[in-house]
Amino acid sequence: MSNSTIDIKVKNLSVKFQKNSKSFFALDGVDFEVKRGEFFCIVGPSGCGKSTLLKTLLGFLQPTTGEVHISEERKKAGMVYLPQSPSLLPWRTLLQNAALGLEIKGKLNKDRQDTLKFDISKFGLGDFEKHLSTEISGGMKQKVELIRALASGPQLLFCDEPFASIDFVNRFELNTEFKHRCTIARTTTVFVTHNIEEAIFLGNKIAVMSQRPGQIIKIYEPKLSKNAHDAIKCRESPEFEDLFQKIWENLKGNYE
Amino acid sequence: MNNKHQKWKILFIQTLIILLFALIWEGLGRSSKNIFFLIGTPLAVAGEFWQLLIAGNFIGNFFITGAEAVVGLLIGTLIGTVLGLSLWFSESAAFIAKPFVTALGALPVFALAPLMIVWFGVGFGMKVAIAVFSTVFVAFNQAYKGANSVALEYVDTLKGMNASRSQIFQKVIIPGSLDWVLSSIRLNVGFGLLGAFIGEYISSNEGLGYLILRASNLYNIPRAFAAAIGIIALALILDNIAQFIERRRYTIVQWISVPPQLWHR
Repeated sequence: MSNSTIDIKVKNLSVKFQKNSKSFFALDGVDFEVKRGEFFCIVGPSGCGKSTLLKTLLGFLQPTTGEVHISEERKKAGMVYLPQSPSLLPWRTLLQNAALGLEIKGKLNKDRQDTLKFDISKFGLGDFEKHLSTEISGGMKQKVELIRALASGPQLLFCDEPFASIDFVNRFELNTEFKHRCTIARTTTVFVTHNIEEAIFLGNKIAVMSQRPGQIIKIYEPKLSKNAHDAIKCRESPEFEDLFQKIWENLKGNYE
Repeated sequence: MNNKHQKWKILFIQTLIILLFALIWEGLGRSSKNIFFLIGTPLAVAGEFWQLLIAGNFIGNFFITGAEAVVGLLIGTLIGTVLGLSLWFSESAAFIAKPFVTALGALPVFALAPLMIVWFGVGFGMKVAIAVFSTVFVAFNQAYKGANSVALEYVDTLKGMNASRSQIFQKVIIPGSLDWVLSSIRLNVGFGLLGAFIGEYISSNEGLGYLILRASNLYNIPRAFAAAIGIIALALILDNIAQFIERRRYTIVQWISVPPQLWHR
């Protein structure tokens, strides 16, 4: 496969919602492309339609106008959705929840199960393997969600602020691990967040969205020259602060 | 410790209430011949119970009624649950089916009882059929509501993994509605017994209902009460079994929706 294969293509996408006989556009004329293996971050203010965009990509919502094209072949190979709040099945244990993705794809075997257990202890959840998912904390649940998503070897990953409910320290660790995994697996990722720093660290591309009706006002391509693999140390790169300022200005402009 | 203490205290008070009740009943029954004719006395009931036990094939009749109820409630619950859950696959089928099911469920079983004789004869099968009829709609409604009460986010999670409809059904819909299905089993213990009973009332030559019916025809009130004790015992035993199954819900979920290699222990 060449580097320039396009996995996701969105053309002039608009989504209209109807509420109490009033209608409004959540998204209005969104255009972008995501290439294979690219990590595509979307940042924007709350309520700008980030989640709507993601749900439309996933096919949970239908576009009002415009087109969403997602590579069928990659979709079949493995598509995973990491939701905003963890949605573990409450009747399953932590291990059983983590294995769900592999199970659905019929790829669960002894080796992969061992890898899964290894990951669970790596994320500090080894002692909780047999706990039902109702018996663990919110942050733990989010970690399980991440383990589950990564374990199934996703080709397409759609994330809706998956780290929003995780504490500061854990968040950096998870970010580092997450980027590492996505990079080696060449996962095509769409990652929605309102955290600019997270976007700069993770993204190959960062799309900045406007207030509702959501439009993409700018796309950046961060190139961090120092420690690009580490969520904390990457801040030593001079580009980091520079880009932060630019995106900050874009977002602030929305409020004025 | 305190908890255990409390338990004994409750049991003591409950026993006291029963004794007091029996005492008043005994006194009332002995006060006049007419009253004895109408309500009997606890001692007379105990005597009849003993008679039934040693000479009246109480145990045999007990098991016959039990079998009618259990077979009927198993078949009824199974059919109702399968149909109710599978309506999840098609929203339009559900909309079409719903009023018919409600209408059939609203029909009292007694109304169809004579037909049951025509269709299923007067034997064991007829009682089972009535028990099926009285349980199937309860199971159907519970399963249907259960399947629709499963949180959309769980379904979306699996959709996000590109899961097939049948995978979503097996791994989310069935486990997610299990509480509803299990409580339908418990509800159906009562309805199944009632169905078996109605069957025995219409036509029978065995079973606890038959014992009650014959005893009342002979104005042997204590004997009717003695047989009624059998029904209470049957109801309690079946309810306990249903509770036992309810407590095993986690194990049941594992069997149905989790591959064996992921079972703990």
